[in-house]
Amino acid sequence: MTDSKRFLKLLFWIVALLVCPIYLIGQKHELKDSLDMESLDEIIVVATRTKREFSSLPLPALVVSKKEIDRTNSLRLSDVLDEQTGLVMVPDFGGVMGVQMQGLDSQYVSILIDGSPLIGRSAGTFDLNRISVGNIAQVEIVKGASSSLYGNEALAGVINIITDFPEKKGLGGFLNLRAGNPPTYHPYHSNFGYLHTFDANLGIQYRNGKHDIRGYLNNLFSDGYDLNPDQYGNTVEPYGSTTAEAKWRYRFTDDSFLSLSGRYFNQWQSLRPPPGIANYGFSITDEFNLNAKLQLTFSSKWKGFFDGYISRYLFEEPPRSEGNYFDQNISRLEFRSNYEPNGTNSLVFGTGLTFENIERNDFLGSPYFRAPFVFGQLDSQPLKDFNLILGIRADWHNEYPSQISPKLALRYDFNKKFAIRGSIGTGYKAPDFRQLYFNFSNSTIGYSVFGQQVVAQRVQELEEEGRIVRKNVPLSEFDAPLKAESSVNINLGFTFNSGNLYQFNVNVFRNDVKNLIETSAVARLRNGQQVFSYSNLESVFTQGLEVSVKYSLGQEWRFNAGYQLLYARDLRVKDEFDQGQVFARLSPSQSAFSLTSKDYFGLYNRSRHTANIKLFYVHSGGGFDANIRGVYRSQYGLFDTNGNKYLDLYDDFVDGFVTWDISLSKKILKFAKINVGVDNLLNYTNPSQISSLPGRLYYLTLKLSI
Amino acid sequence: MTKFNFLFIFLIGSLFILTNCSSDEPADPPLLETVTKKIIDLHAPQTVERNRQTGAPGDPKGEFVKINLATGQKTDSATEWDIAFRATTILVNGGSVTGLNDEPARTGQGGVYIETGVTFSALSRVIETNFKQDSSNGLAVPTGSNNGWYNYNRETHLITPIPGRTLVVRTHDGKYAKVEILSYYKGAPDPKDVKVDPRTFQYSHQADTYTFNYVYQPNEGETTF
Repeated sequence: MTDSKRFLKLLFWIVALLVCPIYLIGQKHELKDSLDMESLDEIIVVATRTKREFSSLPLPALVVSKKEIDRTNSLRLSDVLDEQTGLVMVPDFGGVMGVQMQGLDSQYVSILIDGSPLIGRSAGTFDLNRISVGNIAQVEIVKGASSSLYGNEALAGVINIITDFPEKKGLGGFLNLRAGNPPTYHPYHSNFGYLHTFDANLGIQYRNGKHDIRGYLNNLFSDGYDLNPDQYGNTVEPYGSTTAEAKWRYRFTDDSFLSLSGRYFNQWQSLRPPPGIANYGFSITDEFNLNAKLQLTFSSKWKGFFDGYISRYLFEEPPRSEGNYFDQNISRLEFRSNYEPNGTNSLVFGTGLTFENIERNDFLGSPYFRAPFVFGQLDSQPLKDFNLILGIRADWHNEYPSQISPKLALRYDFNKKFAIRGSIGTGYKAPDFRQLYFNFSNSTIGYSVFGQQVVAQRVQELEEEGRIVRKNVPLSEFDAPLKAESSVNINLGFTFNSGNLYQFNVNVFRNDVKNLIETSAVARLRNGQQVFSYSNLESVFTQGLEVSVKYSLGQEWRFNAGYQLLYARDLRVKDEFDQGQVFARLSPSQSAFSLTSKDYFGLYNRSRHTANIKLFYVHSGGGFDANIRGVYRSQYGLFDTNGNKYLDLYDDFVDGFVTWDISLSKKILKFAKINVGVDNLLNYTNPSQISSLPGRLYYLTLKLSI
Repeated sequence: MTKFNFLFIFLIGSLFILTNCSSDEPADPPLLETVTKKIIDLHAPQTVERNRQTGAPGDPKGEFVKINLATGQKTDSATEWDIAFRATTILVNGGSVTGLNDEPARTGQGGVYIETGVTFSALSRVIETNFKQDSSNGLAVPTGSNNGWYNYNRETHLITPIPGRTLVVRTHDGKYAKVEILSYYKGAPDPKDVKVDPRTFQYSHQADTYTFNYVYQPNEGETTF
C-alpha cells in the first residue's frame, strides 16, 4: 500500500516539476517533429517474418522506435526494455542483465539481430547490456510462445533488434558523446579520471541509387560503482566495451537486394584483485556476427529470401587456479519464400539448417548440435474484419527428440476502434550444452555437477574410485534423452484505438510449461557432498494481465503507462502447500507451523505487480524535448530464507521500488543538440539485495549530426 | 502453545480414564511425566583437511558430540548416548558404523526416523516400524540438502533446519523422544542476520552450533508424547 501511495505522490511532484520549465520556454512554432507524426503506422517484421502493420496484428507485441530510444537516451538494450510493459530486467550472476517476459526467465526469450539468433548465454541468461542501441532502427518484441516461427528458445517470446540503414541519399553521419558520473566508486583505481563513465557513438552512412553503406562504432567505459564502501572491492568493477558494425546493401531493384553485415563486440571487466595487487587482469568477451541476406522479388506475388549467418562468442577469464573459457559457434542457412496470391492471403514457407558447437572448461568433449528445420505460415483475411494466422514448424535434432510447434492467432475488428484478439501456440527450449555435457567438480566444497549425457560415465568412474556412498537413482535412468522444455501459451485481449487521441490495450496470458530441466542429486559422495545432474522435473505455470495506455495530450504531450499483474507458480509445490506439507517458523526460537496455499507466493524473482509510466514532451518547434519515466516493481523473493525450499509469505522479500529517470534535450545549432539527464533521480539503492542498481547517475550528452 | 497444553491434558486425561477402567488388575506404577527440554548452542565442529596440491577437501574428521536425552547432557560415555552431532551429520546409537572418520561404535538399540507433514507439537505417536539405524549403507538421518533435517542455500551458504521436520528417536535403551532442530548457528539468529564472507567462508555467527527442542518419554514402551 505504501508503495503505491509513494508512487502517486512522486508522480504528482514530478509532473509539476516538468510542467514549470516547459511553460517558460515559450510560444509554439510551426508543427515539425511533433509527437503527433508518430501515429503513422509502424511496421513489425518479427511477428510474421513479413512486413506487417503493427496495429492490425493478432498477437501481443511491442515496437520501440529509434525516436523513443533517442529521446530516452538509452545506451544499452537493457535500458530500452526496462521501460516496456511486461518486461522485467533481472540481474544474474556476474552482473549480466536478463529479461523476464510473461513471468518466464531470460533463457526462454530468443534474442535476434536482424532475424538471426544471438548466442553466448551465462547459465541461460542473455546479457542485454551487450547490445549497444546507437545503431538500432527499432526493437520488436513479440510476447508469448513463438516457436512456430523461431523454434528453440522462443518459448516466452522473441526480441528482434533491427539495425539501421540510411534513409536519406548522400553522405551522413552522427557523433554522440556522453559523460556521466556514478555516485560512488571505489578509490583504489580510477581508469578514466573525472569522467567515470563515458560513451561515444560514431555513425557514418552513404546512400545512392544502388548502394547503402553504413558504419558504426560504439565505445563505453565505466569505472564501475561501489554500493558497500566498507567492504573490499567494488560492487561492479571497472569495465568497458566496443561495438563495431559495418553494413553494405546493393539494390538490384527497389525490392531485390543483397546485403552483407558484420558486427564485432568486445567487452572487458577488471577482475577484483586480491588486496595489495594493483592490476590483476580482465575477463574478456569477444563476439562476431556475419550476416548475408539476399532478397529476390520474382514477381509481384512471389519473393525469395536467402540468409546465411555465422556467429562466434568467446569468453575468457585468466587463470586464478584454473582459467575459464567459453567458445560457442553457430552457423545457419535459411531459405524462405513469400507468396501473396492476392491482398488477403500471404504464405510463408521456410527451411534451413543450424549447426552449433561449443568448447569450454569443465566440459566433456566438444559437443555439437545439428538441427534442420522447416516452417510454414498462412496469414489470411477470410472476411473483411477477420484475420487469421496459422503457423507450424518442425525441428529435428541430433541430441533430443524432434519438435512440432503449431500456433494459431485470430483477430476480429468490430469497427475501426475496437478489436479483440487471441492466440494459442506452443514453445520449447531444447536442453543446452551445459545440461548435457557439463563435467564440473567444485574444489572448495567438493560437490559435482554432470550433464545428462556424461553423468552415467562419470558416476561409474567415481564408483570405481570408491568415492560413491550411495546412488539415489539407477544410472539406467539417464539412458533416455532429456526432453525439451515445452509450453502451451494462450493470449486473449482487446485493443481500443481512438485514432490520434488514445490507445488502450489489454491482454490476459497463460503459459503452462512442463518438463523443466532442473538439477537433482543422483548420488552421495563419501565426503558428505553430492553428485548432481539434470532431469525433466517440474511443471510451472505463469498467468497474468497486461494493460497499456497511450494518451496524446495535444500535439506536444504524450503519456504512456503500462501495468502487469503476474502469478507464477510451480504446480507440485502448490499441491504441497494445499496438502499442508509445507511449514515455516517465525523465528529460530519458535516451533514450526503449517502453511496453506494462500501463503505460497510463487516462483523466485517474480513481482506480482510491475508498472511503468512515461511522459514525453516535444516542443512543436522541435528545438526542445523532455521526458520523465518511472518504473515500478513490487516486492519479490530472491531465494528461500526460512528453510522450507519454497517462497512463502514468511520469507524475506526484496522491497518493491520505483526508479525515475529524467531527460531534457535542447537543440543548440542546426547540427548540434545538447542533452542532460538523471537516471534514478531519487537515488534508490538496495546494496545488499540489488547490486545492479547504482544509485543516482547524472549525464551530459552532446549529439552532432549531418 | 495452548494447543499443545490442551492436547497434553487431553492425553493425560484419557490415559487416566483408561487406567481407571482396568481397576480389576493390579495397579500400574504411576507414569512419569514426559520431559520437555531445549538444548541451546551445542557446538559440534568438524575439521576438513585439504589436499595441498589440488585444494580438494578430504573426508571430514573430529569427535562427535554425544547427547544423552534422558539427562539432556553431553556425554563421553561409549555406550550411554542416544544421538551424536558433528557439523551437519547426526548419528544414532543403533546399527553399525557407516565408515566415517572418528565415528563411535553403536552399542545401543537406538533408531531414528524423520517425520514430515506434522508440527512438532502435533506429533503424538511413535510408529515403531519406521525406525532406521545407521549402517554401512548410510546414515539413518541422511546428509545433503533437503534429504534430512536441513536445507543448504547455495546463494547465502546457510544451513537452515527444514521447518516441519521432526526427528523421532529411539534411545540407546529403547525409550522414545522427538527432536525439532531450530538453528545451526550460535545464538539461534534470524537467518537474515547471519552474514557470510564469500571469500573466506567466515560466518558472523558460529556455525555447527545446534539449538533444538525435544520431548523425552521416560516410560518404557510408551509410544505417545
